[in-house]
Amino acid sequence: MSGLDHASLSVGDYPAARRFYDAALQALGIALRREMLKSQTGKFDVAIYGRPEASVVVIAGGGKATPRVHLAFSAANHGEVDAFYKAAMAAGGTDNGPPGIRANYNPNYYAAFVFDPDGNNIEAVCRQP
Amino acid sequence: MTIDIDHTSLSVSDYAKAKAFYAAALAPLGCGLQMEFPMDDGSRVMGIGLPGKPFLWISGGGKTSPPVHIALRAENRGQVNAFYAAAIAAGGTDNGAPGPRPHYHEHYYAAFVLDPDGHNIEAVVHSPDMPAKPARKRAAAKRSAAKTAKRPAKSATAKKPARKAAKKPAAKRKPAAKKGRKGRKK
Repeated sequence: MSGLDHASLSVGDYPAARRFYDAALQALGIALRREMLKSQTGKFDVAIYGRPEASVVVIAGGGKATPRVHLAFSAANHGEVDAFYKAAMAAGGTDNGPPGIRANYNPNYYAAFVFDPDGNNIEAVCRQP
Repeated sequence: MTIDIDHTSLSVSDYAKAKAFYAAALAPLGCGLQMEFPMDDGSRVMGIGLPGKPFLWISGGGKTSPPVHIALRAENRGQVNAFYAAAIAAGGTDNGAPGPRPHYHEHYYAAFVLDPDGHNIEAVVHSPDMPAKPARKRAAAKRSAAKTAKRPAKSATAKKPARKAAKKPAAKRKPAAKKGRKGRKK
């Protein structure tokens, strides 16, 4: 197998999450692919980002995730990590570690960490020098 | 960028139970425990994934609520089937037997199992088993050549998972069709 295919993330405030993920993921080249609102689904607001075979699904309606979840996206280069951090912070995120090398993980681990509006720890990481 | 989730985390109520479940359920995917260490608060965390690349971090800090959904990418349909069998045998709860999910896309073949805490774990493959099929057919043909019973042997090997899937998941998924796309997997 080749790793994670997709993952879900529960949030409390859907509009706030949309603002945050639209901006933060756009910096990584990940676009909103599909949205289904409570009026259609009956229960959940759902936003699907990415391709069918590599996506993250943001779901509101079941409350925010506790304990909070950590989700890391692969970035193509350091510039994408920097752009992710900037965009995520501007879109309502909270700093949890600015872009930089995390040598304690590995010498080329370049990452940034931002809490989404619900406190989920969202990371962008590039493992290339 | 190549869109990919690098890693993610979830939290469980019973760490030891989860460790046993994930080790058994994900073994058919070539996936296992790669790292384990204590956290500052005394709880433990395990990194599950491929050799040298843990991508699913599981901690024992109480189960994540609402439960999370995580899908692992399998290499072929056989791996999806094996994941499902192993996960059920390891104490998981059926949440959708192996089979195609054409409402996602034409070649979407997946199985869903709830872990002991209700987290919805999926194995999925997005492409038909193209390279594997001719090989299997040749092997089946060889075997059955001796018996001069080519056709039944062939369909027995090739059709089994598909038939199983056509029944169960279709019935299971349909009532929830109005829900969110991923909500259906709940």
